[in-house]
Amino acid sequence: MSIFDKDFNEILSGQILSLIGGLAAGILLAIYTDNLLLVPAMFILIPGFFELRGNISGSLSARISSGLFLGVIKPKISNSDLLRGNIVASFVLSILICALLGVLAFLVEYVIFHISFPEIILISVIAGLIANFVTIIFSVCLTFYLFNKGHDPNNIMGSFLTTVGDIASVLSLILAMVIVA
Amino acid sequence: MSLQKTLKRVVKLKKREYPSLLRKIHKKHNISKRTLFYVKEYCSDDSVMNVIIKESLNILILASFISAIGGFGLESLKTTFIEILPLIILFPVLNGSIGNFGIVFASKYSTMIHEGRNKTHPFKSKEIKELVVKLVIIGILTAVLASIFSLVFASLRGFEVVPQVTSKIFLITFIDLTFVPLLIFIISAKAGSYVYKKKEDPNNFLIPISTSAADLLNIAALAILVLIFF
Repeated sequence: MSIFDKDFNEILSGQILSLIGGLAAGILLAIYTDNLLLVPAMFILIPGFFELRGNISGSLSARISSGLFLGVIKPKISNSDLLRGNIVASFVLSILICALLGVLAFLVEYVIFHISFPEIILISVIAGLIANFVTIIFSVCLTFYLFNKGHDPNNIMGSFLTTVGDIASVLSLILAMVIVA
Repeated sequence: MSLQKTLKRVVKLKKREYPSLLRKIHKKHNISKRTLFYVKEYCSDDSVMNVIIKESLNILILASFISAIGGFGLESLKTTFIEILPLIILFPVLNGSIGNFGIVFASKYSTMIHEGRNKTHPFKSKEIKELVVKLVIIGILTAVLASIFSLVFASLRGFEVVPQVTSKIFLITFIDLTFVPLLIFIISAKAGSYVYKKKEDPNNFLIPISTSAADLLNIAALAILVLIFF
């Protein structure tokens, strides 16, 4: 049985990168516990909110990679229909899903815990906009960069997006809290 | 056939033709299967934005509902959870790591199915056994590193790190990063075999299934472990 091979090293490298991002996000959560985690419904919102960065930006990066391989997207960031369509769709999806997550968090908190905190919907949407703005720009730029350097971005982007996404998610939630407060 | 012509052919493939041709294209042109999947799904002549929203919205809505169920579990334990600072630091690490293990297993298992390298029961295959051992070893390494860093940072923030709490944090992280991924591997293997028998592409289903299962099971396991240990 060959356990410690190239495959093992690749998975471990990705995992260490993701561990660094996760710890950074966790430390930020711990520092801002009073401002963030004590907010009603925040715990209901957080798991879905964290997952969304990977789901939306990960797919965006994979689609751009496909377009680059297919030759329908030029290996230079430009205002093409395909690239614009991908970016706009990612923003639309993130706003829709963040609003849904906010509504779900509000409803669960209200129905089960009898606490009414409608601001959670606004926090979710604002934080989603900020976090996705950062991760979408990061995804697009890094995907083009990796492709131009001769790599298949799909093999590399996952761990980077988890790391950047975790940190961007916590910071955007803090920022949204400040804006709504 | 040139790479671009081959990829344009992938766009026009019918869903049932896709899994068998994928292996040949993947081997010949050395392009990842995930890339080929997205070429098939999103590079058609329809409006790009509409296709993406139509294809993604349902699975994202489902994932949101599943996450909200998990979040409800956490909200119920909010008071206990907030008091244990290392757990707050660990939460994004645990959630991310289990999701990553699920994605690695699902994508590699899909590849094995496509390449016909999994003819016996999934867990009797040598390759699957090796993959599971690798992921469990990486899970244990992650658990040790994550526990140490979370305890060190928590102590810097004034959290009293006593041996009793330290051992509980190590145990919770260890159980969460070894047993929960094993459950996800079993779910992925069963779902993968079922989907392939139905002549569908496992790539389309396994990653969303494994990430959603990872989210829910991780939070459920954390909630149970916190209730038991604290």
